Amino acid sequence: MSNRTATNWVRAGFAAWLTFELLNWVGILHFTLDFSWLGLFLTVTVLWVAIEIVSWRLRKAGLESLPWPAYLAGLIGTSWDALGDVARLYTRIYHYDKIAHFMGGGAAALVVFFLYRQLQRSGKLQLPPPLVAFLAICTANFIGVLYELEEFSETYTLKNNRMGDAFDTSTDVLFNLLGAITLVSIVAYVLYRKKRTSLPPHV
Amino acid sequence: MCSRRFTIVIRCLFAGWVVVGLLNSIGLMHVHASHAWAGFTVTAACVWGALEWLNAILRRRPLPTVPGWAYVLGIAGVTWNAMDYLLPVPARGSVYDKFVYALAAAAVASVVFWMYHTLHEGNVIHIPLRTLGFFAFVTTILVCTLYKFEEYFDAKLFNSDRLMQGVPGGLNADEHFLWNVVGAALFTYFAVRVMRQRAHRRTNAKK
Repeated sequence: MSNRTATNWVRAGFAAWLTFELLNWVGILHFTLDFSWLGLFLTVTVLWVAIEIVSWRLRKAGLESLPWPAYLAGLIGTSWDALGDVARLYTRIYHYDKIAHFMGGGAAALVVFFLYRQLQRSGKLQLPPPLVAFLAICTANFIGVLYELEEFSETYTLKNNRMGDAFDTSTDVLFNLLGAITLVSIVAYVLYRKKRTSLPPHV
Repeated sequence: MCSRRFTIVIRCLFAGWVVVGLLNSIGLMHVHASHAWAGFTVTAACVWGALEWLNAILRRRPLPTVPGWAYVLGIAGVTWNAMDYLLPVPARGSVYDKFVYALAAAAVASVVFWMYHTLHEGNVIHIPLRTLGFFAFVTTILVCTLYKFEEYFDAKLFNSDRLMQGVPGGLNADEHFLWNVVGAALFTYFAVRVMRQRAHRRTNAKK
């Protein structure tokens, strides 16, 4: 299967989630959830649009777009969050939130890892492979910190207590980082081993 | 490069703080502190260890070793941290508290930026200057995150109030992250600006 075909399948997954959430938001479907349809819709939209913008900028610079695993990482991360909301897994499974942060941190790190790898392969960056993985983890950690700062600003301005208790932020960031380290390490190790054999050009 | 005597003095100071922290952690010393000594010991050991690890990376290549000012920043930071443990300081959430977190992040960013710039000048890595600044920034945020984990485990294991969990509506980790980001961003922004101006001047001088 080519990179384009695989990417289009993942795009279909994003579109399916958006359609499902939109139909529920406007009242055509009547599934219930713990939080809000608008919140879910915005999360999937922002993430999908961000990945497409990164791919478009890479193509505009004459480079290859993000490979399909980067898209798939984004889809898995948002699907985990959406499923947790719709199937009420956040309330039913005690550590579901922690796993969601693990998956989300890992997904963000993988997208960034593939971006840096594309820039590396095109010669825009020249970094040793372990440093590419390390910087992807650092960048994903920063994205996680930004998300926590967004929750903080909402709590500060809207007084809606998005932050949770005193340990919540640190726990979220910890699992973001663990997810980033775990998934990037696995993918980087597999790619490094496969580098010794021939690889399809898009991976 | 710093002189051998200077390096020995700095290492003795680091070792001193680590030993004091360790002896207090295991109960062989009983100096009163506002939080558990284990957290301070870990911080001091990690700052020292990080500087030596950076030195080891650079020594493997024909590159300048960690400069004296980085060691001075490190020992100053650890000593300041010790004083926060030993002396009454303004409460968490105060202007002093915000300032300390921003300053600490800026100090870390200076060492990280120097490291990446040295690797770039030594042809180990090749990245545009703005990207170098961004990488220094996100690496600094990771270091700040690791310090936050030290506070987190201190609060969890020793029930200390490092995360202000005892204060209703306490600020916990978020405000500290905010000031870390401010400090790191300000430093890396101005560092990149200064480096770009130097590069322009060098280019104009050649012409």
